[in-house]
Amino acid sequence: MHRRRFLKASAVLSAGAAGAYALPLLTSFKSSAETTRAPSTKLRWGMVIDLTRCPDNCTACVDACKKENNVNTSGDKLRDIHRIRKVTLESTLSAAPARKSVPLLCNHCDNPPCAVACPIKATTKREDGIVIVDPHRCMGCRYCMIACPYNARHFNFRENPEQPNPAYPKRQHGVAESCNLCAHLLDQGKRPACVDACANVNAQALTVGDLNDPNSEISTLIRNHPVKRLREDLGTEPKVFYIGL
Amino acid sequence: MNRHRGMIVAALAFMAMPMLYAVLTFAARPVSEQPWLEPPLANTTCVLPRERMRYDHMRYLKSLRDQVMREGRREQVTGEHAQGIGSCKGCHAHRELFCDRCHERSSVRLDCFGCHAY
Repeated sequence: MHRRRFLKASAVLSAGAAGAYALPLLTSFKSSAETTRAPSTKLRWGMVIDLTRCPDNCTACVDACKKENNVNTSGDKLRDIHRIRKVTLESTLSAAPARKSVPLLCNHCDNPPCAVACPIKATTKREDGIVIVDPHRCMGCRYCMIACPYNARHFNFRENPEQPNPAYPKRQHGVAESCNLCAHLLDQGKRPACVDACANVNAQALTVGDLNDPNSEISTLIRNHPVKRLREDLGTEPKVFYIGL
Repeated sequence: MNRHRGMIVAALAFMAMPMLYAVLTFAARPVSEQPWLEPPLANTTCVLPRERMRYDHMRYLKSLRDQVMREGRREQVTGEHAQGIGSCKGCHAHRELFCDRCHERSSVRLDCFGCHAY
């Protein structure tokens, strides 16, 4: 009789314990799904690149970026860093031959694979949508470079001997680096260096702005033009939009 | 008891000797070992009281760093009363005569100035 009562009591206890452990699991799954679906009304930076206004041989944005951000370039093609770079795309279709000069930069994805891959959260997406590398925390594992489908990430194989802009730090050997939309300028209400340079050469191909504001210049451009993003099939939700790609 | 008094006193004195030696050498250490720091250029107060800055400047700088890098809050590091590592040199002009003096003495190796210009 005693054994029977003991077994009964232990069965009740273990069932109760299992329920107590499972309950928060079940509820937490539900609440996380709810929070990810909540629409954000905050600032969300994005960029529009109008390829019809981007001249073929102009590299004003690239040069301005290198100068502003102390990007390590010494002419070594294997090791040079390009936060923004220009490539020439050629159509292989004989019916519609075309050549386009396209600026490529970090797409500041809404689902950034680099931030997911980063084992120490050195790469994060800020609340305003900018994907940023914290060089203090980066340990140089280069997982982000493998994860990024746009080849927008680079590794500092050596320290930059020069510092053209003393107001902005350089990077040491051993950290990853990518475009951060000149977050230090955007936070102060200024335009990123590339956008500024593009406007200064009167091309005005680059526009940066708030995607969540329906009246901003960038939202109007996206509404009024057929825009494309790079590799939309990957589900990374890039925030750099191309007109005329 | 009386028999052993002398021995007990001698033993206590022997045990106190190393401590006495430590205290005396600490008191008699040469003043030149204390790092001399360049006085600040401007006759103003620092961002925190002096004692707080002596003990907490590294944590303070790190909190500013995390604010800027993680949250994008730059109100403390921009403007006229900017704080942060880029603004120390407004008063403490020479890194070699300010940061490095203590860090070299206490064998602290910094990574700050590999990237940040000072």
